Amino acid sequence: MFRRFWRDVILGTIFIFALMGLFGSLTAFKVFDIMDPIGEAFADMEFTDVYFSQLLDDPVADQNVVLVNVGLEPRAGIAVLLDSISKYDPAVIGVDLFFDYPKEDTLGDLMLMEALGRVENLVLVNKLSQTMGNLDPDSYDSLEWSDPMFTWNATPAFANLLTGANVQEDLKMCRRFVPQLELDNGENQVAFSVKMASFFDSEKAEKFLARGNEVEVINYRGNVLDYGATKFGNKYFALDVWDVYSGNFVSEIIKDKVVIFCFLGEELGDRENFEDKFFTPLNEIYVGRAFPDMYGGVIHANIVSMVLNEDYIYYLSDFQSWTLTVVMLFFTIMVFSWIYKKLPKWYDGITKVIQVILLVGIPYIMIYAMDLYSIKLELNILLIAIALSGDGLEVFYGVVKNSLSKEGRKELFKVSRL
Amino acid sequence: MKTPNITGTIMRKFVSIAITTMLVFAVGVANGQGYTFRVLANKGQNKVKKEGAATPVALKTGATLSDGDQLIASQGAYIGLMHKSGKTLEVRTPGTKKVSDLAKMVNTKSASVSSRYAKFLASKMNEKEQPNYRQRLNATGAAKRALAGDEQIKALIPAEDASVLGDKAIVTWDVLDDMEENVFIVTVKNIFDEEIMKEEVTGNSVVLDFTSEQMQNEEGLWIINVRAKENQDVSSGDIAIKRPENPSQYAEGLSSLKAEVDEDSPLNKVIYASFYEENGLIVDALTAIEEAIQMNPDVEDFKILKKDIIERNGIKVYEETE
Repeated sequence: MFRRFWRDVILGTIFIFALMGLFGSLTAFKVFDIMDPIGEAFADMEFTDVYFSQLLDDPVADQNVVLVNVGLEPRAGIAVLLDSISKYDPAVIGVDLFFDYPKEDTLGDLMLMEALGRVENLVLVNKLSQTMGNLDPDSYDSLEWSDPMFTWNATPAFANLLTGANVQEDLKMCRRFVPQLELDNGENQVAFSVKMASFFDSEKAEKFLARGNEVEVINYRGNVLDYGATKFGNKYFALDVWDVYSGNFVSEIIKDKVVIFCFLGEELGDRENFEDKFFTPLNEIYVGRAFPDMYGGVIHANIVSMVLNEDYIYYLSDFQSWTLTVVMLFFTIMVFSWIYKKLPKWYDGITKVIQVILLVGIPYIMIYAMDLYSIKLELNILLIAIALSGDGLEVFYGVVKNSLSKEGRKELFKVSRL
Repeated sequence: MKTPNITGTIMRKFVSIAITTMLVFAVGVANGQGYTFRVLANKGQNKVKKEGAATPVALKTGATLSDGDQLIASQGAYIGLMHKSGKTLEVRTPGTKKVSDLAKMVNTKSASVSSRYAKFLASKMNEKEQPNYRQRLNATGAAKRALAGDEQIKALIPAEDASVLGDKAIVTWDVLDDMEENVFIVTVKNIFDEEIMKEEVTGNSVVLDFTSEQMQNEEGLWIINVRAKENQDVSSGDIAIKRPENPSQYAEGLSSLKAEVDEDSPLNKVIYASFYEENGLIVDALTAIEEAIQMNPDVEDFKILKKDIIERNGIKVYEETE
């Protein structure tokens, strides 16, 4: 009797996973897609998006990072901006811009080249790339650089962010980034934001890289002048082109700080320009259709903040997540099976109540873990499994198990003869 | 038996007290930063009037603001402020704001995870759709290539918190350079949206007499609208003027000013304008300066002073050529 109970619990757990697998495979074949706009909307959503978007407690601003918007300034203008900022001795200037090829405006090119050359600590972006003949999607064998006339004084670092986009112009959701990556030739490349952080505090950057994670989750802090696109639209110093030209800022905000030259729209607060703009988990609208909320430069600023403040996010490996899911589902099925056998009349009511408690309680645990310990628990599969478990187990006992037993089949045929 | 080392114990206690004192001092220094806000980002022609300063100066990114300062946000301003606690605040409405008032808006306490989660669940449960299609017609499928009607007449009154102390106000407005209309319909409504006054005026100003029978208003609130007579679509939009919350607070200052300065000369009007502006009574200040202009229309300085009041209080930013 006791052994049979445990066998049923194990088989019931397997059945729920099989049921999920069945639904999953049907979804994989796009069978339900035509009538599943909700599933489509949720397809690119993680539970922590809700945390960042709606539940994150207002973080404090970071005074160690200054963003400078280059707007639509030509290269000569960017040179003037660089000179205006670098004279106040920032710890590092990161330029989140590519300067491909010399332009017809030779004077502008020369001005920019010299201005970049005058910056004491300069980090200039490059891009991890794959050559045409490289058929391995996991291998990066080359780097895309600005024209060499602009790079001679710069420390290189890659600006690639982890998104689902195939090209820069696609809609992009950015939750994670790659802190360092080894090229096919064995050369180690470091991310733009981590490299900038290393100029400010090399120990903290080393400590971050020493975690050894191939991918890191970005612990977002906030945005700059975003008109409500996120709840935290004001977390970094931000200077517009005009501010720098007219000296409309206090120089002490620059000294010994991380300064990022980047594109933040034609002017600060530009909501109509989507060049280099991303969706982030901070987006006020966390599911379905929304506008991108954050420029790439601000994402780099968030990563710099995370590294310098050691606000890392810890997350479970796939194996750990699956183990946790299996164990918790097993216990749920055990309780439900006991109720099914001992309190059959109460089964529907009690299991539904337990399901509701778990479906509210598990997200609470996920939020709690994230908020207090910065641990990202991805238990979405467990939530789906629990949602299916009550009725699924009834199907298991009522249909699967009965159809496999002689008495069950006999009972069914007896009814059909009536 | 081991003898207790008294000297060692005293030393340990001394070191412990010294460290504690240093820590307390360090925390005190960290908390006692000499500012209330620091400007993180600053969009618009915004200004700050420092405590004790006669005139406001341009607001700089990174500047610090203290409790006694006043922030003057221009039309379309977007100012990001960081409180000394590290929490942030945005100012997106034009007008003069006291830094001490802004500081009260900063929530320096953190909510618990449970309360945030409960609040989120409650807000989701109470979320209402707008089933009525009539409430969802705010956007058009068209591009704008001209200014909207509400932007073609710019009433020179603060968009928010326009308080009036006097019995009379002169409301003026600017129109676009290429606008030919010179005849306007000024309407005044009460809080119940009932029209209590309508007047056709030629030129760009109207005198509102709050003591007149039709303007009598227990609520102390008047909603003013200016429209071009020939094109009713061209309007200023509705702008509210109200009585200040505690008019008696100005009585002493005003009576002592009246005792010393007559109101009958243009220069004295400027002094009154200055008094009103200092007390945040911008409508009265503009009325006084307008009276000075009407008494001496050839004096350019009065017009410049009027523009200064308008700009300082975030009503409008004039182009340099104007």
